[in-house]
Amino acid sequence: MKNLTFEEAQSRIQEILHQIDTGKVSLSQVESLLNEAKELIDYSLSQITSVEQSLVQWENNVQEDNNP
Amino acid sequence: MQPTTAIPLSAFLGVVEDTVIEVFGDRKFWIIAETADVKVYRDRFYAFLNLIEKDGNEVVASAGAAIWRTNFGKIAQFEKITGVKFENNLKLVIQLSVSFNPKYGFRLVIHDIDTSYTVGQLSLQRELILNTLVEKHPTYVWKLDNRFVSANQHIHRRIVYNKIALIAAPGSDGYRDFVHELENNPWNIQFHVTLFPVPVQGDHAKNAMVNAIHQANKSSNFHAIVLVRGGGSQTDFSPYDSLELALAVASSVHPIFTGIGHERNISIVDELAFAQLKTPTKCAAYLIELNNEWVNELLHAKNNLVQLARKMITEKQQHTLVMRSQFIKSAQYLLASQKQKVIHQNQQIGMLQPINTVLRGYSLLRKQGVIVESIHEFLVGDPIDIQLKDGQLQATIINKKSSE
Repeated sequence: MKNLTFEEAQSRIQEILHQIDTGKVSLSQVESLLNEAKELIDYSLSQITSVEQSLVQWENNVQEDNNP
Repeated sequence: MQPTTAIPLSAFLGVVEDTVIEVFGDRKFWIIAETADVKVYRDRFYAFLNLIEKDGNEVVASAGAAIWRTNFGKIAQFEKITGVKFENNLKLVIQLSVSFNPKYGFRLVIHDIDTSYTVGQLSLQRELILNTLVEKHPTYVWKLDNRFVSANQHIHRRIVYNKIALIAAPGSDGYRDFVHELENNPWNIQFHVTLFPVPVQGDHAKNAMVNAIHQANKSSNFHAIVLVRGGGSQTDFSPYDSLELALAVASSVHPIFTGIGHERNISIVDELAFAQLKTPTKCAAYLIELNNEWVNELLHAKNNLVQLARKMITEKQQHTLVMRSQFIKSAQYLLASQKQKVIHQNQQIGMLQPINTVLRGYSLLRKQGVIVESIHEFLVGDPIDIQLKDGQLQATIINKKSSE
């Protein structure tokens, strides 16, 4: 999981949803796939949060530059 | 024949004196005459000379004359106004009276000198020389709108004049004034002065100055040739009114700047020079001013450049700030939309959870926690977990029947 990029996680989530939507997986597989998707979503959200924090920090620096 | 009565010379000359006084008294006369054997005793305030008149080369009239202390100042006045040294071979209009002294003899006493006559003569002479130049050297001197102009005056104006060929008497006031003014210019403009030493008056002055101009013109390193003389003496400007020096000035390759130092008149050399200034100091000041125009232009350009650079930097800074804030907005938008998308995915997953099926009234069968869909996964006697809406049941398989 740690080695995945945000985009790879996203594409895996889409793949899982597509598989379930189109009924290509057995009900027995659904639960584990959904658990995997849940983990990927948590990972994606943590990635977004991390970037958000970087951006806020940078924005604060910009304001300090403008009002030294 | 023996004289019957002889009288002493003094008695006789006394009679002559009486007669002269009786005939001429204090009456004054204006006469035209030339000067000869001039002896000016400047420290004793009197002068002796002969007044003569010539017919060709023959002297047809001659008389001794004197200027005494009371009118001695007229000599200096004459020299100052005309720029001509009071010396031999001058044709003058002079006011005089007649005197006779038994001891010293007959003498004309000069009371005044008509400067306007001499000025007029000089002017005629100047006109003659200028016209000769126009006639014989039309490439270098010509008339324009009733004025005499020279080729030297039409030399293209330079931006910088700081390499100077200075034609002057070394150690003279004119030389010192000129160099001092240049060296003390307030803008620290560097001048490179090369001295061409010449006498500025006397017999050799004219030829020395003509040669100096020719020498200076042999070098292409000079921006200007400067002719100065100055200081106290206001006399003997004749070299500057000579045809030879005037021609050398008019035809000079380098522009000629003059500071000859005559207060009233300008000489032919002045008239034909590129730039004519009254004194050596003024000549130097003018050169400084010409160069300063250039220095000012440079300073102006420098200021413009600095301002332009500042403006560019400010513009770029503003642009960068705008770009940065735009970038932050875009990034925020992107993050928000990605977040929305992930939240939506989370909702989809939530809805797909099998538990939701149970909530709608179906049941889920699990074997050891794993959902099962087929009877083939069970053996009779296997334990089974059944999940219903309101709880879980644990059971055991007691029979299997395929629906196929």
